[in-house]
Amino acid sequence: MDTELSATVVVFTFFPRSYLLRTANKCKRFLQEFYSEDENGKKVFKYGAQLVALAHREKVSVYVELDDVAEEDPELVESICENAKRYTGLFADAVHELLPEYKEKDVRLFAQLILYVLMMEQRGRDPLYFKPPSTTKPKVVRDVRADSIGNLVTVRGIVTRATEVKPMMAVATYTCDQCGAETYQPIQSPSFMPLIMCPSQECVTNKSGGRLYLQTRGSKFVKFQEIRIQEHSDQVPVGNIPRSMSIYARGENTRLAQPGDHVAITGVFLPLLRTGFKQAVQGLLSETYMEAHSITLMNKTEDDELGNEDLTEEELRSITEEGFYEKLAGSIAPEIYGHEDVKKALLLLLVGGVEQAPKGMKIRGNINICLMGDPGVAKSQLLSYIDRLAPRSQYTTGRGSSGVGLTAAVMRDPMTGEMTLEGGALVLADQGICCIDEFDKMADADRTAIHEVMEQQTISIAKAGIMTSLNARCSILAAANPAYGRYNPRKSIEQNIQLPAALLSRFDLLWLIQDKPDADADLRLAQHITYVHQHCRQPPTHFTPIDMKLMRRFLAVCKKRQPVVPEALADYITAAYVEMRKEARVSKDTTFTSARTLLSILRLSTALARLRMMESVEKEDVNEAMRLMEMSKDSLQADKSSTTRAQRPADVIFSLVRELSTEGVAGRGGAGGVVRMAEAEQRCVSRGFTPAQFQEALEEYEELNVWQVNQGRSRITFV
Amino acid sequence: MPSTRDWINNPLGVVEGMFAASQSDPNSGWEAKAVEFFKDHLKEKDAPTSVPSLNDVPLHYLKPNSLVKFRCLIQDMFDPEFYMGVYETVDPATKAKVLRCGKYKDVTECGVDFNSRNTVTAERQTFYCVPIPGENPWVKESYAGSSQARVVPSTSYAPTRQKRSYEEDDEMDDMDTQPQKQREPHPGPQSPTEQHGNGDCKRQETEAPSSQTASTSHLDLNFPLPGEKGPSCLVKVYENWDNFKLNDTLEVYGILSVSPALSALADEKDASSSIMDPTESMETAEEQRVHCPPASLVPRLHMLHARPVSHNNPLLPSATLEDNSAFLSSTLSEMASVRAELLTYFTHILLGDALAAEYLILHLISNVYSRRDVLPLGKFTLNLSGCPTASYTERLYQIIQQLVPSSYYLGMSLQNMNQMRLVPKKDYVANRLASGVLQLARHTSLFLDEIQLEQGQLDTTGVRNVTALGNLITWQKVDYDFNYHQMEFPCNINVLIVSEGRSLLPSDCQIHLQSQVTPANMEEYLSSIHMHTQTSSQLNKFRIYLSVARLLDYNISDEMTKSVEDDFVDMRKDDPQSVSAEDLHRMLVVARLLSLSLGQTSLSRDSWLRAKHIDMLRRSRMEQHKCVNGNEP
Repeated sequence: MDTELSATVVVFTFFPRSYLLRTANKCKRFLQEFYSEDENGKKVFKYGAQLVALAHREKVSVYVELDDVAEEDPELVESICENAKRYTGLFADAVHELLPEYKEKDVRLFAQLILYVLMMEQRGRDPLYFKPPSTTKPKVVRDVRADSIGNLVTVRGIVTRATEVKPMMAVATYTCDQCGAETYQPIQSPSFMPLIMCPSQECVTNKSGGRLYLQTRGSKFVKFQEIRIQEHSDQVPVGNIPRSMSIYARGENTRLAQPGDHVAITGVFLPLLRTGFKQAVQGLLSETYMEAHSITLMNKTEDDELGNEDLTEEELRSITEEGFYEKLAGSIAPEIYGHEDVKKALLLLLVGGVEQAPKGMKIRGNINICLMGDPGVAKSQLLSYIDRLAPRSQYTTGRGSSGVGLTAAVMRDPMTGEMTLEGGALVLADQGICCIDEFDKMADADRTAIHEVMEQQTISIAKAGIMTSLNARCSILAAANPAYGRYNPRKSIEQNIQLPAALLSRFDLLWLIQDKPDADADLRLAQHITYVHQHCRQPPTHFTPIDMKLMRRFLAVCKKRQPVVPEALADYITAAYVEMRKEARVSKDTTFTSARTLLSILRLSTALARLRMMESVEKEDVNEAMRLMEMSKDSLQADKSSTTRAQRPADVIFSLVRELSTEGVAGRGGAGGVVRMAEAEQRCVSRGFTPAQFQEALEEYEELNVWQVNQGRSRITFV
Repeated sequence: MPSTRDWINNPLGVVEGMFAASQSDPNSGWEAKAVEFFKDHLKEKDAPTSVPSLNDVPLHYLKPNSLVKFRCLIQDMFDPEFYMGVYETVDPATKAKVLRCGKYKDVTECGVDFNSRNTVTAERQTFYCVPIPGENPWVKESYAGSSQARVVPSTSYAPTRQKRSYEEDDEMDDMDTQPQKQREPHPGPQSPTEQHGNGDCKRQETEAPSSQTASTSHLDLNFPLPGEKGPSCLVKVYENWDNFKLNDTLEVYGILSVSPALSALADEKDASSSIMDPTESMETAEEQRVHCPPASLVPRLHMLHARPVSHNNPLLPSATLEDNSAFLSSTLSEMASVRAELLTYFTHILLGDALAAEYLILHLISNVYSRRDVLPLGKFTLNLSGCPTASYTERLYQIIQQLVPSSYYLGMSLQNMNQMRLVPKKDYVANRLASGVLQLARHTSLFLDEIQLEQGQLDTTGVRNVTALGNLITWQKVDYDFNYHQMEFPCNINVLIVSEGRSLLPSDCQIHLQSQVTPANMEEYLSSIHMHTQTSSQLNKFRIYLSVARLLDYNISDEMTKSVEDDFVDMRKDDPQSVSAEDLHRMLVVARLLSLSLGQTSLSRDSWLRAKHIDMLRRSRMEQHKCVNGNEP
């Protein structure tokens, strides 16, 4: 169907008379007889009701749902879709004929209405619109071709232009200058030939030659608007310019869309006929437009949901086969090599844990992740990939956003002087993901603005007379560089990150992505790169990355699940948590293990259960959640292996004391190398050492002649 | 020999003849046959050169409805058109009905029966094409010189004038003045205000006061680069239009249509806006102007055949290299020697810096040969830092201009960055893609002169422009602005940045120029560079060399791959900080380009070692300069 488009114009195909009559009767019968049963088993005549409303002028248009027609006569639907313009007329005729029968009471006429109703009865059909069968798929503008002319099609796109709504003459009314009789002329085409001679009985018999004058006040006009839509960017093949299409909207369909709106429009695709001289010069060309039957607005997320019909069995199988967890994770940013665990964590972030609200207390289900790492380890690429993948997301950088820009701002409307609230990135990302790059570059004051979001998932505003709290149920994915540009394994984690603990503890997972030399990994990396250069394509992996759209749909399905933690597992999790706390105390963990950690584990495990599309969490989920937790901690204590020995308490105490002495230099000036004993002991005890350990260390290092302790044992002097 | 030239002078006659012959047999597939006929004729020896080219023959010398060719870039794609593929005419005298073919033409004879049941509606696609942006003068001259088409003022020129009688009188003056106006070079960057002073526009304004913006861009032919000349063309495509992409370069063979009735259509519509007919005013006046410009200004071309242009170097045979093994083998054997000469030449130009000269050669033959997801492979943006003066960079550009088929010099002055439109933007009022500097054909050399940059404030446009340049360099893509969203268009542009210190833009490879000339002698040396022009045969050798090297195929053998991998692991073992994945990427690109520059189509151990060696030299040089400039992280 690509090149040879020799579709004939079917709009004006002529039916044999008998066929026409039969079809007209079919239409009439459908309108009269179609009913559905409500829950009490009572027959509801859907179209009968519409006709009554129309007869009483309570409504101005009739909607015929083709789904209903399909119940009666599936073949008729097919012919309607193929020749919609014709059938609009047939149905409108049927409505017109039936109307008198449905008038149950006399409509009380207001003076202004009299003329209008008179005219309506004189001539003129009420607009009739088709609603497409729910089985039709919306088309892409570029697929609406010459062979679609005359068909009822549904297209989706973005409105790029909408003209003013203009009046368009539907019925022209004339008065005669001789006899005063009114003449009506229904107008169907964009241009018309005005009547000149009065056709009334009086003028014709008298041959008075009455001239007709057009009465604008008596004529009937309908609202008319032209809309131009353009394809969505994702429907355009690479290297092509988006196509556009003109839509003519009349009556109730006008003023529904504005430039920038995403719309789905159902209508009849028609050629625009020119007349007279224009037709001659235009010659071989005919312009086309779409006569709108229904215009539905949709926002971007709904638009995505449209594609979210249930996954087919096959698709589901392809996703949930063996090793699907690895496969899904690997499909995140496939162009970035390695980082499997980070990708797994990001996958869980996309799915999210289950939100719990026991007795009014709200525990968030969203997972927050902070990625840290040396420059150039593809943090930003991961972020922007997530931003693209997530159906709803906001991407911002720490440098470019202030606290106000992230949360919400109160603005004074210049026109009315009223205060209005404008949501920032976090509010806009409600129910989605907010990606914040360059997190470390953010001003501290601004960073605190998101504390509330990260735990309570709301933003409270109390300024300028507005006190409110906005929902910001978003996951935060942050990327930060270590404080010194590169991660310095010799410094503690706080020193490296320089983010307050209050903020760090709010992140469920904290990953450090480091560029570590490792012969094995290097070889794989080199193989990967050389393969790409050699064969100009991705090396064959054991899987092909899952398509982004499919992934989005799968994630949407996963999110519907609400898995619970079974009673039996509760003990296991508590035990594991207690174990972790104990371990943390013993190993002097650099990270923070708190009650929040327990919640994080629960969130991660529920997310895993969701991913498996199960209704309850299993032990494996908890184990995997803890493994991820462990891995993220491991990534932070990066060079454990390279620092050869574990530090003895004495060494730590020594370094503490030395730190104190250098602080003294900076603080008091001139007191270099001398530390007061009481101060040193206090510092060490506060770090969890016993006074005995302190004394031990003191003696040990005195023996080594690193420092000297004075006679009164009140002062330590470095040698 | 009238018969042999018929297919050039009267191609419509040929098409119609075939159409008439096919009427007896409905399944004859005459359309395919007609296209095949022209393709076959064009395959003949020097057939392509005997077709006159729109690029070098002024439009009024060409015969309407004759076969012409046009070397162009697809700048915009319009919505498809529906036309009558087959229609019926009625002779008013005899009432005889004749079926006719509506393909390849715009205007019909009188007496078309619009209500005929034999009418067949078909679809065609319109592309707005402009000459290849930045095509250098030597290319144009060379193409024009090789053309054998006789370009005599055609006799049909006069009748065309007579036909204009059915336009308004003052319209005729307008038409006559426009071609000259169009040939005026636009000074500086394109800005709509500059055309305000134009008397023609004023007249237009009085005519259509409601559409002020429309009138200003009336003459805007939408060339990507400011100061471009040449005709633009509306190319009507009848088949396989899905194969064409935006920014493709093509040589279109088609039937020229310049009927003035086409522009009459647009003018007539302007005049007759009536309140009775709301549909009429839907298309804005501006849109009319863009989509139906006067045919004398923007001719229509009905495509019969299009050949993708893989290179626009007139010195190379137009067929692909594989088809021309004789040419290939003769140039391949010479490549090493030409390379040595070119290296000497560049070394001289680059103030005696041989290493920089080496890198410049590699840069000029680089080419994005593949894309893996978003990552372009083979790009090699060079940042030449340490350039002495502004006049030097201009000279350097002039020399490069002499060597590559198309290039563009972009002075990154604050004014330029803040005012120029680099990224194409969709203009919804006129319903077209307003072009920008970065809408370039592939293999175009973009020369960014950062020395022009001074201290000051970049405004929003400036920041956006710098970001666009950065994206271009890193990803070889340009995000076209569609107002409601952006669309990525991949490109393949060689970007060379000259700067004093390290450039503020990213680059694949930076090299600091080490001048062998003492500052005292600099002036003298600089002036001598210009004097040192090469003989044209020498220049031609270089031109062929650069184009061929870029088009060669290249592969890496498995054992080379293995050894490269081992090398990398070893290097990492010694000093993990020294080489990263990006370094490996770059070294593989350098090795590739180095091999190609020597005419080798596969990687050898030597080339790999040499690539490693020169990369090491370059990096050690960068170390020295690290402390000198402040742009280092």
